[in-house]
Amino acid sequence: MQTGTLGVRVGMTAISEFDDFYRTHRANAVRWATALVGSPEIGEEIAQDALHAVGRRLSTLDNPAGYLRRTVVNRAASWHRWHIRERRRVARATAGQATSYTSTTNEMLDALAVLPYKQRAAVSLRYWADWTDDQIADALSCSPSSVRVLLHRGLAALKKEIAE
Amino acid sequence: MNELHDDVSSNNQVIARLRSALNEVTAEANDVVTADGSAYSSLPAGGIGGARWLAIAAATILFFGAATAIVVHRNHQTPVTSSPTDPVTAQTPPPPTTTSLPVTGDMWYTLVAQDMNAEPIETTGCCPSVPPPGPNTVLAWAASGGFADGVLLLLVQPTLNGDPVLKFMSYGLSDARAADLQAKVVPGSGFPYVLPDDSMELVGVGTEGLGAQRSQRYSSDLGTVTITVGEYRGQLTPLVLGAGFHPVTIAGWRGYRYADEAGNVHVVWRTPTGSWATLEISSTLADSADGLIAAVHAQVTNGDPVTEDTVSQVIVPAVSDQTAVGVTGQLPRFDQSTAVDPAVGMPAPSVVGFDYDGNEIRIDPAEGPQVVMFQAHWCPHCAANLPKVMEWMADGTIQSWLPVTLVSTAESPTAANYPANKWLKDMGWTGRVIRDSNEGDRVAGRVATAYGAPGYPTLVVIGIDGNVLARATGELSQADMKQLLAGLPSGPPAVVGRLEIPKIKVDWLVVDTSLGLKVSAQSGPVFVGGALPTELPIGQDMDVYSMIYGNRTTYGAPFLDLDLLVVGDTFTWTDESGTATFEVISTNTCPADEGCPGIAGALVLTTPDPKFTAKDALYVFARRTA
Repeated sequence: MQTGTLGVRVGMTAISEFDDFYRTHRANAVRWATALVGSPEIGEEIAQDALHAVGRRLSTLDNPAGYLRRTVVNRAASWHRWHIRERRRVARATAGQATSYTSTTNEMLDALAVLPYKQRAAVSLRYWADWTDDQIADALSCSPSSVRVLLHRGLAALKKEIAE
Repeated sequence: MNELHDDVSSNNQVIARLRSALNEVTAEANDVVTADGSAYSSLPAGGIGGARWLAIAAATILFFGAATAIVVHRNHQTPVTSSPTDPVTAQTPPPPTTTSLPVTGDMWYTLVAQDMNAEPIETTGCCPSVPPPGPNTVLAWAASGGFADGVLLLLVQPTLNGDPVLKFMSYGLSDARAADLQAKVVPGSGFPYVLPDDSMELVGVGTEGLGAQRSQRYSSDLGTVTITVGEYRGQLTPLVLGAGFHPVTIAGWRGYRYADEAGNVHVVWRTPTGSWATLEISSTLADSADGLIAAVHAQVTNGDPVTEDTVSQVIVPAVSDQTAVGVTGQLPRFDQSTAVDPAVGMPAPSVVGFDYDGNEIRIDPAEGPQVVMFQAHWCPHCAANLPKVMEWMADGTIQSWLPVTLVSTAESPTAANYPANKWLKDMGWTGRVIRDSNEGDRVAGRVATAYGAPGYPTLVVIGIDGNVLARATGELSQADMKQLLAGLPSGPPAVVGRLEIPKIKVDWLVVDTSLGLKVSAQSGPVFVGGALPTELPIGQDMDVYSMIYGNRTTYGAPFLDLDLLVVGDTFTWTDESGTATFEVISTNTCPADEGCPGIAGALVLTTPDPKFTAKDALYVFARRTA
């Protein structure tokens, strides 16, 4: 299907090709997204959206797995930017006090939640999902050396948060 | 400064806890995914995920509707007429998130940017002849809560044998809901199709890619910006196709921003009069997109259709009647009688507004520490307090680097000293001013309300993290003021060392990032991180680096001529441990958001490039010499 509007095209990838991709990558996409947002439900949504977005372009991609990593990380970032901020503001304005959006009792998850997104993404993906610095750099659109800085700061911040 | 040598075992403990916490939170997701309990196994055939994918695919796969032939009557002026069978007769624009504009005539938008040259407005009539079977029709329905809450798009492709092909796309609707809505769509008499569902309203109907519109291009050496206003011609399609609904405020209205594959930035919005507008920023200007979006201003003609003539007749009033247009965030109302102000620690509302000359002024808490002060021109306490604040700004009680924004609110045309801008001038205030929105005589405007100001004057201190540090109301003493500012860094950022580059006449004290990079950089080049230059190794590759950022064209422009450095040039760095000499070994320019690959053991000097933009980053790598 093609829509002539604003030059956007939809390439429908053969379903079988996408199906294989989907089966191979879905589990990880959900895990990554869940770790990045701290909620299995939202992680699932983000992963589905990301898989869908990658699936539409599957035939045109050199490195679909890398594109998927990037998409998941970006969409989780968008979710943090647009949804959490609004939710927290509304919650705080109505309750008159600080509210945690993760409703978790896990101290480490709380500590992760207050990190800047890039730090959170870097430490989660490096130390838990075992991505390489290069993979993280690619997904966060920064240099591997920046990733090392993020990791260093992220770990330091986690330590500080937990110590408090 | 970074701690360079962390305790390894404590790092390992943190990492172990991190892994355990994330394993716990993702366990539930894994449960859904895997049949065999393994976190990494792939999906079993026919599992939940597979069904879900098929449903997703169904949303984009066309299906055939039992429809009659469609005749779409197009007309230049009115995109939508109602009909008796049409359930959506009362068209209302999506609720604006910000103040509403007077809707008296056609909308037009202009870009107020000094370095962009406006080209003539071009008008495109509707519907150039399209060979049979004719053009596609596009319709868009949005949830009454707004586009982000759900959108259903319909593309109607005529065919030569008379039966059109219907293609639905949706955003923000569950698969079941989308399917339910699609099933409800029926051919209409006044409209090509109608969707009888109270929760969805028709927001656009037109010819795909062909509706009448006016457009104007602005160009500079760096790129182009194009604004279009006109009929619906499928402007929502890219958003629904996965570009995402990223809301932005444009000309006081809610718009949606996305980037296309080529990196061009687009904003789509439905104007208060129901027409559709787009802003396209070429990829070369993408880094300036925020500023360009903010530079789009709405104009309304008095009932005349927009033409170059009527637009040029729009007179910008001598005193701008533009008031605060974008306010995001809400603090509880300040109550002096409570011991603890609940707003402390909450994110300060961000504001886009205008001063009395129509210049855009923002309160952006992300920029770091700042003071926001609410004043009403008729209030005697304000008149008493303002001179004191100005004195404190002069004598350093309020640190000179601390931005202070005065919000002029609750204006009263009946007061003796109206208008407020004259009062401010008489008081001698020359700083930043935002004119708050007019909600009635002596009624607090939107900014004052968002900040929870209980009266005037009210003063709010925003801390380095963008959260409220303190609020106070009434006349203040110098001691009060000092108390309010006590939580801020006491002075400009600390000096880390001295950078001397004789070739480009740089001799600057380099500061740390204690006020955040942006504010710190106003004091001079900033030592961003890594090892101190004097700690870098001589003549060997080690995995350490050091980075100094300097402004290119602002705040003394320390790195204005950084591009003149070439391989072999030398410069020096001096700090407490002594002086180190460096030799330039490489230069590179990379997209600003990516940065250049690092060189082990090098000191990096970096600045935005080219001048006056933040598109790329210029990196100069230097190695320490003996």
